[in-house]
Amino acid sequence: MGGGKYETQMCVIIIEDIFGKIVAKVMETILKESCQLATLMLKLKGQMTTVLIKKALTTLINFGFVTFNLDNNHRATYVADADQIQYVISAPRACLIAKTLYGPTAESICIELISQGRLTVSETIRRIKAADESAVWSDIKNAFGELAASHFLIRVPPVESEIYGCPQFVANFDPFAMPNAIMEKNETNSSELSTSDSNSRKRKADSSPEDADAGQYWRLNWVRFNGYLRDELIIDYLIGGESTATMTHLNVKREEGEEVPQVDRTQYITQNVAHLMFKINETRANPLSLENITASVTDLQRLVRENSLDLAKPDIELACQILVDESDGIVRKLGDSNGGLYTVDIRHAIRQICRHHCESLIREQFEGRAIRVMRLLESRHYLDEEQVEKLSMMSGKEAREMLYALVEEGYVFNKPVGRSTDFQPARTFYLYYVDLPRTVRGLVEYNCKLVRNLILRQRHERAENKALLDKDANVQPIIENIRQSDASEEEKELSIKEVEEMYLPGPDRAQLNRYRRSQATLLAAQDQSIRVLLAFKMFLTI
Amino acid sequence: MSGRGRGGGSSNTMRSVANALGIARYDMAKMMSQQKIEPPELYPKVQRNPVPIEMTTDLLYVSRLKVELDQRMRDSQFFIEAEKEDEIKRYLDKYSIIKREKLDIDMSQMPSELVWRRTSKKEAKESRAKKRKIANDDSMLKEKLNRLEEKEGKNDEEGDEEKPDDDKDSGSEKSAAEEEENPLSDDDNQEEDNDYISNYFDNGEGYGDGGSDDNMDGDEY
Repeated sequence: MGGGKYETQMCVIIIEDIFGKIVAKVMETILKESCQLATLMLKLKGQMTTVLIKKALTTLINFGFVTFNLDNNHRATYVADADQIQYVISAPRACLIAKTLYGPTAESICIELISQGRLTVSETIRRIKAADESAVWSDIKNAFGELAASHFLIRVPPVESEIYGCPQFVANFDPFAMPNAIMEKNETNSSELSTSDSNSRKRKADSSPEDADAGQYWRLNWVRFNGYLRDELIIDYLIGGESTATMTHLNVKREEGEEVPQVDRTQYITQNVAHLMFKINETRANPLSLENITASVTDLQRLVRENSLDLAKPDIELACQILVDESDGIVRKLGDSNGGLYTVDIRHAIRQICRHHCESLIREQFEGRAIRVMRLLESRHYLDEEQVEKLSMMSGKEAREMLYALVEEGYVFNKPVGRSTDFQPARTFYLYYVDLPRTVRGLVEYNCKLVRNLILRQRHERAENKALLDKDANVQPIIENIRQSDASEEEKELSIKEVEEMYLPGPDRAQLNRYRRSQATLLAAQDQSIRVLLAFKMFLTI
Repeated sequence: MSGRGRGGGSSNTMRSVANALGIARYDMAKMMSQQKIEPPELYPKVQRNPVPIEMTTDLLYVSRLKVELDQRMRDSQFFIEAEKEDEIKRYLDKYSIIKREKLDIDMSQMPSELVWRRTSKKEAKESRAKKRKIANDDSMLKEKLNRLEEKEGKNDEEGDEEKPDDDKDSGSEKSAAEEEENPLSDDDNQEEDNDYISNYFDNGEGYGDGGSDDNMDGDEY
C-alpha cells in the first residue's frame, strides 16, 4: 500500500463513481487503516446500517479490492488493495487489447468479468448469450481458453476449508488450468430438474442446481495486462508513432495472402523485430519482472516463421543493428552466439521513459533552457550555481532563474555543504542536484490528483446534462422504431427529422454534442494519465 | 484632540494617496463605490497553452467503452444506495428509481461474519420442504408436527440471537458455525419470490417467526 493523500482520494473517488457513496465510505475507512468487522462497524456507526456495511464489504471483496486474512486472535482482518482499484481505469484498455489479440468474443468475456468481478466459465457463457443471442458456444469457450493460456485470466484460489468462520484457500494450484467440464445448456437436464424437490418450480429458465465447474472462479489478471502495457510503452518510446498499433496487428491472425502495407520498409522491419523480442518474454511467470530480455537471432527467425512475416535473416540483423544504435542504451548486443545475441534492458528503458516525461513537463511549464540545466545536473551530479552558469552557457541571471524555478517545482534539489563548521550563508556551498526517484514520487501524487479531478469533472458534466441525456434516451427508441418500420427511405428520413426537431431542438442538440465530445476527451485523458502513472510506479520499484 | 489628530491623520493619508494617484480626493469615494468585485477566474492561468489531446482510434474506442462500462456498473446489483427517508411521496419518485437486481454473491468465498441475511438457510429450506409436502400426504402430518415443534424450539433461541446479533458489533460464533458451505443465494432467492406461497399457506408455523418473509423483504430493499 503506502499511498499518499491524493492516491487515497483518487481510489475513493473511483469507487464512488461505480459503486456509490456507501461503498466508497466503507472503502475509505479500510484504506486508511485495515481493520476487522467490529472496528469497521464502530467507525461507521451513525452513518449506515450494519446490513449496508456488510453488503458493501462483500461487494468489495468480490471485486478483489479488499482481501481478508486471519490474524493472531482468529479474527478476520480486511486489507484494502489500492493497486486493484487503479486498474479499474485501465479496464477499457484491457478490453481493447483482448479484442485486438483474440477477437470480439474475448472482448465480451473481458467486459463480463470486469462488470461482475469474478465468474465461472459457465456463468460467463450464459451471460454473454443473454446479452448477445448470436454468440456461438464453442467460440466463447475457445476464446476463454486462449485468454487463460496466455495468462490474461487467472483463477481465484478455491476454498479449501473454513477456520473460525473464515474460508481458507488452497495454497498450491495451477492458476491457469481450464475446467474439464462446463455446464451444458439446460434442455438436457430439465428431466432431472423436475424430479428433484428443490427445483420443481422453475422460476428462471436458467437456474441450474450445480454447474460442473461451480466454485472455479476466474478474474482478470491485471498483472499480465500491466506487463503488456509496459511492453507497449517501451516500444512506443523506442520507435514511436504507430508502433503499438502494429504490435497488436502482429498478433492478430491474418488470412492467407493478405497484403501488408509496405509503407516504409525499414520502419516495418524494426517495428516487427522489436515486437518479436517482447513476444519471447510473453508467458513468463512474472510478467512484471525487471530482468532483461535476451533474444538471439535464431529465436527471432523462429518467431518470424511462426507469425508468417516476410523477414529474411539480413533484415532481422539490420533491424537489430538499428535498434542498438538508436535506442540510446536500451537495446544492446551481448555477443555472437546463435547468430547474434541482443538484450533489452527494461530498467534502463523505464528510467528513460520517466525522464522523458519529466522533461516534457518541464518544457511545458518553463522553457527549453531549463531542460538543458536539468540534463547538465543529471550528468554532473552536484553543481554550484556558478558552475551551472558557466557550463550551461547562460547568463548568471538566467541560470539563477531556471534553477530556482526548477527547485520550486521539485525537479532539482538543493544541498547545503558548509565550508566551515557553521552554516553561515556566506561560507556554504549550495549544491544543486537531480534526484529522479524523489521527483517521480511527487509526480505520482500530482498524477493522482489529476485523475481525481478528471473524474470529478466528468461527474459534474454528467449531472449538468442529465436532463438532456434522459431526453435523448427517450428519443432513441422512437427513432429505432421509425427505422424498422416499413416506410420508404425518404419518409423515414423525414419522420426522423421531425422527431428530432420536436424533442431535441437545435441548441439542445449542440449542447449534447459538446457534452459528448468533452466526455470523450476527459476519458481519453484519464486513460493516458493512467498509463503515465503506470510508468512512474514501475520506475519507483526499480 | 485625539479626534482631531485622527481626523487630521486620516485626511493626511487621503491627501497623500490622492496625490500619489493623481486624482482629486472627492473622486476617490466615487471610484471605490463603482468598483465591482469580479468573481475569480474559472480556470487558473497557465504559462503555456497545453497541447490538445490527439484522439486516435484507440482513444476513441477506449472512451466509448468506458462510458458503457460505467453505465453498466451503475445499473448493476453492486451499486449500493442508502434508502431515502422522505416522508413526502413525490410523483416523480416512481420514474426516478433505477431497477436493479438484488445483490447476490457467492458467500462461500467470504468470511461467514459478512452474511447479512437474517434467517438461516436451514430454516428456509425446511420450511419450503414442509410447504411442498403438505399437499402430498396426510400421513406426513405427524412428521410435520414433530418438525414444527423442533423448529419452534430452535427458532426461539435463534430468533433472539439473530436479531440482536445484527445490532451488536461482533458476529456470533453460533450463527457462523451453523452456516453451511453452499451459497445462500439460491435458496433465499426462491424464498423471497415465494410471496405468493407464504400468503397462500398459513400452516400455523408462523408464531415464532411469523412474517419472516415480510421482514426479509423489507430488509432487502
